[in-house]
Amino acid sequence: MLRFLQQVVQNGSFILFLVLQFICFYCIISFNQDQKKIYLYSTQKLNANVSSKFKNIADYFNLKNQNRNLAEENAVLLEYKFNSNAISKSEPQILDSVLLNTIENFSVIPANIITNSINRPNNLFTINKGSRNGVLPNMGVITTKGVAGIVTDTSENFSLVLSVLNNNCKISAKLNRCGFFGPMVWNGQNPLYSTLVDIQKYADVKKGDTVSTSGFSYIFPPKIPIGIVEDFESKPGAFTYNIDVKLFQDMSTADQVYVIYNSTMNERIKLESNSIKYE
Amino acid sequence: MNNDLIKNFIRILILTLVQIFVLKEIVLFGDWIKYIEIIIYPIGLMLLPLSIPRFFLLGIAFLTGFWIDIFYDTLGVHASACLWMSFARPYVLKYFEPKSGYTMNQHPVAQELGIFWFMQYMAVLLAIFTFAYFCMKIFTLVFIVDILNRTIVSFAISYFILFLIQIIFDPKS
Repeated sequence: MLRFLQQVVQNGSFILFLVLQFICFYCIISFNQDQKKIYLYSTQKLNANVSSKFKNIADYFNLKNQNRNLAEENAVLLEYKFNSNAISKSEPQILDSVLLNTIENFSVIPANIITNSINRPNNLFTINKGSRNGVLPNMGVITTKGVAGIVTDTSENFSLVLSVLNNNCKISAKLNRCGFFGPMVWNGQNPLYSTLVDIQKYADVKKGDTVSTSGFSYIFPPKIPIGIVEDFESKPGAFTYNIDVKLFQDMSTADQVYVIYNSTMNERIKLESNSIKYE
Repeated sequence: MNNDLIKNFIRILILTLVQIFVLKEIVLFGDWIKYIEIIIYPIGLMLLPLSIPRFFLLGIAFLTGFWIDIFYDTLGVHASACLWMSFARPYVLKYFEPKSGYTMNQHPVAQELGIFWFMQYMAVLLAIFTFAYFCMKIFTLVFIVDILNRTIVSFAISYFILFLIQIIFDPKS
């Protein structure tokens, strides 16, 4: 009995040691700024690593879908190859715009999404290509279906991307049929929809019109599809429409993405910074 | 026993006050010397009686470290180092046990177990303390060289000062 009690007391002290040490650790990482930063940085790095490992395994289970998507892409490419003259310009195809522009100044880096979110007010996702692969901030990210986001931060092997489902992500968009353009921002509610604002009231908007990138910004090449007009309305007294756009790419299922690199980006930023002088 | 506890309590209090109001304010100038921290209060924990239960020892160590942390504005760092040291204390005592063993009411002091025994005992515990302290303070093994440098230098200075204190004061009285 005494022996048993001794055991309990000894182990009890060890448990007490662990509990107190845990309290210390908690205090250190919550009340000391330097240690807090190191802790957050390490856990984030670990998280990214674990996520990418997990992704490696999960990829195997997703192979069937991937194959189907690749097959679809191949089909489109073959179609393009055989009927390069027959593509209708009214229906913008992702690949024709990318491929045509690749010749000029856009190049494309394929990547995969590692972590993604769609239910926060400002959504971000991480992709598995970083500065080592040539990804830089302010590059556009698309999927085969449509626009996905804009790169904000890069590390060596990973990049953080502002999703289209982010209030800070503004994309210059255009109505294909009537040619009016305006910024597109997320309304923060439904992850399937985004809002195109500042379209003049005399524009001939109809339900079912397609919306694509305008190409006025250096981030996306023109004519990358974004979505389809679902509904439009204007507030009383306003001169502009707010148009609800149903996104082609459902962000909750996005996986394979392409980062678009515009080789004339820096030149253009430099030139356009001069415009301040004349305003 | 009661008298003993009060004496130890007062000793720890005085040591921590000296640490907070005197040693914390000392700034050593120079390029390589500026990271030195003189830490003497752990000796209060080392001198606690041999018969003290472990969980009691851990509790005292945690409170002492936390008390110091409040004044150093490094909540948890000293407390953690104190806990590591107190956790190691029974094992260190066991390692340095004399052939005749300890007697019931013995104290781990130089007067009872010899100055050589005490300096060894103190060296091991102080080394554990300083290493744990700088690990928790720098908090990343990326700077392991920095941790070791600061541990060695601070350990040497603190050890020297504790040695002087041992010679000047008699902890039994």
